Amino acid sequence: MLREIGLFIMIALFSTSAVLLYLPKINPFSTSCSMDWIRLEESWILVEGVIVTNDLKLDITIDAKMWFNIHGGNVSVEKVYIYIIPEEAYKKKYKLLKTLDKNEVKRTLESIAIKYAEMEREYLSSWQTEVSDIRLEAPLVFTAFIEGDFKNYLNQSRTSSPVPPAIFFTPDFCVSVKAKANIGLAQLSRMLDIAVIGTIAFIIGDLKSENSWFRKLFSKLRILKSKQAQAE
Amino acid sequence: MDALSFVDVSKKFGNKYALKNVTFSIPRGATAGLLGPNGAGKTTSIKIAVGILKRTSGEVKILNLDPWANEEEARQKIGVLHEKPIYPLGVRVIDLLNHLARLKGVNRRDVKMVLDLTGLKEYANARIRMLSRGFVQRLGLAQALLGDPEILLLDEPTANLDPIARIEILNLINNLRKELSLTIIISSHIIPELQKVCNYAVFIGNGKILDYGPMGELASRYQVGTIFKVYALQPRRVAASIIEEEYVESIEIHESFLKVRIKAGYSKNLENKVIESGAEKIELLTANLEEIYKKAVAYAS
Amino acid sequence: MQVKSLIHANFITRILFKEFIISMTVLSIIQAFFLSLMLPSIAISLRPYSYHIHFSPSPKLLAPVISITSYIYGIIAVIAAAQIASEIERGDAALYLSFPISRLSYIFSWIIAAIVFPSVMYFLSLSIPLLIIEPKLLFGIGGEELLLIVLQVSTSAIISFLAAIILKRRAFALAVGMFEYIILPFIFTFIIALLSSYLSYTGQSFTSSNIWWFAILYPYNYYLFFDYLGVKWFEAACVNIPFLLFILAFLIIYTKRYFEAG
Repeated sequence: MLREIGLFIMIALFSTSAVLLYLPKINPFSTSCSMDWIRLEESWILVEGVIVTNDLKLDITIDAKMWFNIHGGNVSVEKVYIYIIPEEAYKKKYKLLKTLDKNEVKRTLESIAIKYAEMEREYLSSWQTEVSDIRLEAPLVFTAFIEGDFKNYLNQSRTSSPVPPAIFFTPDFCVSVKAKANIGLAQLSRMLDIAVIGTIAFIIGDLKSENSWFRKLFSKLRILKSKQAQAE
Repeated sequence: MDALSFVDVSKKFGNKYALKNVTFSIPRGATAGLLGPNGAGKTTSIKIAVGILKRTSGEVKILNLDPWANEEEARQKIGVLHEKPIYPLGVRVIDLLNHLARLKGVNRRDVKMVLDLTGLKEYANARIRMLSRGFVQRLGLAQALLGDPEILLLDEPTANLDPIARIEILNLINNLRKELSLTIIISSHIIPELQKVCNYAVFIGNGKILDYGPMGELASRYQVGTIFKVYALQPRRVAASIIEEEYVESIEIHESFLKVRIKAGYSKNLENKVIESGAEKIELLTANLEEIYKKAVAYAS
Repeated sequence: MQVKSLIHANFITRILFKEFIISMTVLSIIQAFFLSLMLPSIAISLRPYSYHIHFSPSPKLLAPVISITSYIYGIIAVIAAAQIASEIERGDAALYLSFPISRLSYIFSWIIAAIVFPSVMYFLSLSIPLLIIEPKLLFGIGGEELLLIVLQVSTSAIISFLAAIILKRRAFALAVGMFEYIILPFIFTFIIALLSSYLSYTGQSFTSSNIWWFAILYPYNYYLFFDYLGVKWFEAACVNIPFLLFILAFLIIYTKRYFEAG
């Protein structure tokens, strides 16, 4: 049975390796949206964002698709920028972002982001963009910086009234993530360890077995050799 | 201690009795034939003797062991060739024998020995599915001989074989009988084959024992002619002295012995006569088994 | 007894070798595929930044993978367990039982080859991908999911096995095993649904105490489906294990007293 177990270890190893190496990123797995903002000004909004965490500390690479929609309100949006920021850095600058002006916020975000891009307008009120091969070593925050005219909404929000503003406006910033486990040196070395264990189990099991494949192989080689010697 | 004894053994399958109050014994060293028609209960008896089937009632002892209660101990001392044996076809001959040898706690030398004994050496590395029926039976004998058994139980050893293969198997059994001091129990419905090898018989019919005993005794009991082997330095001289006796039916002269066929009930007379004539030894070869069996069946009914 | 069981189990494994390797290879590829597909999604979580949720590993981390691949594992075990009936029917069993191996050792050799061996293969097919991707996963999941699925499949296989040695017909044993493994869970689930409706109609609450009996045969399904009722994995195991031991005891007694291979 040890031989069969050893053989199976190698089959399982081969199957895993083949699947891990060639499995493409197939479908979006997770989506989350943020409808809150950190800053709401007349000409710009900083959305609070979505955090993506690697809870099992796997070596993972992600592709992310982000989109931004506006629903309702007498507002206009001109440009939307997305920023992908490590959570540590974001946390450190979080309070500061609440106090800086527009350009300073933009510069700060650009300085701490590992990637940033402008979103492309798809429809009248919809923007989207995609990024790929982002390594998820630490939690990442996906946030959006929106430029436009939000005067009307801002005035309404500022009036102190128990009744909600008549104009209803929500920025809908969503992130959808596809993830893939990476094969790095650590995985390769574990594969090698498992291959060695499987091979040892197979060899020991086979040599202990009555119908040893190795013994059959060696005897066939011996016969072949002696036939060759005879022919010579 | 008998090799095998059944005392009042019954075996029921559902409502039907395959064996009913069966009592017989087979002494050690005998080559016994278990004779009866198909469905008589021969195979059931053998399977109960091996401990594969559980008797419904009665007592069975094989080498003084209960084959059901002391199954491992009993099977350590016996070898069995079942009727129509089934082997895993994809396995090689040597691998099956090695595995069975391990179960019996014997080593590869033993396997090589049985392969030689049964003429399977050349086929050791062949897969079982490649063997002809004759060689499958040889394989059956080989596995039965593993571990130097004290008793060999052979259930229809020549079944489904062509005539040549039958002769080969019977010769093999005969040689085993001569070379190894075994108790051999052969179950068959083919009388001429048993005639050639057996010196003890158990007759079974419809799940009941009709009679059993050494051939000489059975021959006397049923008044059937017997064949003796007389060893002599001058066989012609001995032949000449007994040819005139009225109970002598025929004599076959060989180089160092005679085969003398006599009428029933004259064994003692022959013994005395041949010793007078200078013979060295006299031994019972066989009796006319068919005749004994017919008379036993007639008597039982 | 132990040694002879292992010797003969080795031999049985060799005879069933091709079938085992093919089925386990398929299983292994499917396991690797599903683990690779699902693990990243299990590993990552997304939420709005303002939501402060502390991650704690879900106890049913491998549920999506095990739910699918355990069907294959269970079918392999049930089919392998029913094979003993084939051996008895054909007459191979009489050959082996003519040698000094007790009936009990013979039966245990089949249990090792038909149930323990596939379980080891299943465990390897799951643990090798996990070990390669991240060893912490294997040691961090607690093993309760694996334990429950092994108990569940072993229960089904032993039932199939018992049917095989009593009925001595492979087709019947297979039918019993497949019915118990595939069809009966649906029937039980339907009964539970009816029970739940009835309790709700009569104003009573539906709790785990109404359905604990489901865990006798299906501890893993019980744990998976009724998590929302607060069932714990050890409750499922504690209901199943005595039943499994009872069946094993019955198997041992039956073998010693009644098992005939002729």
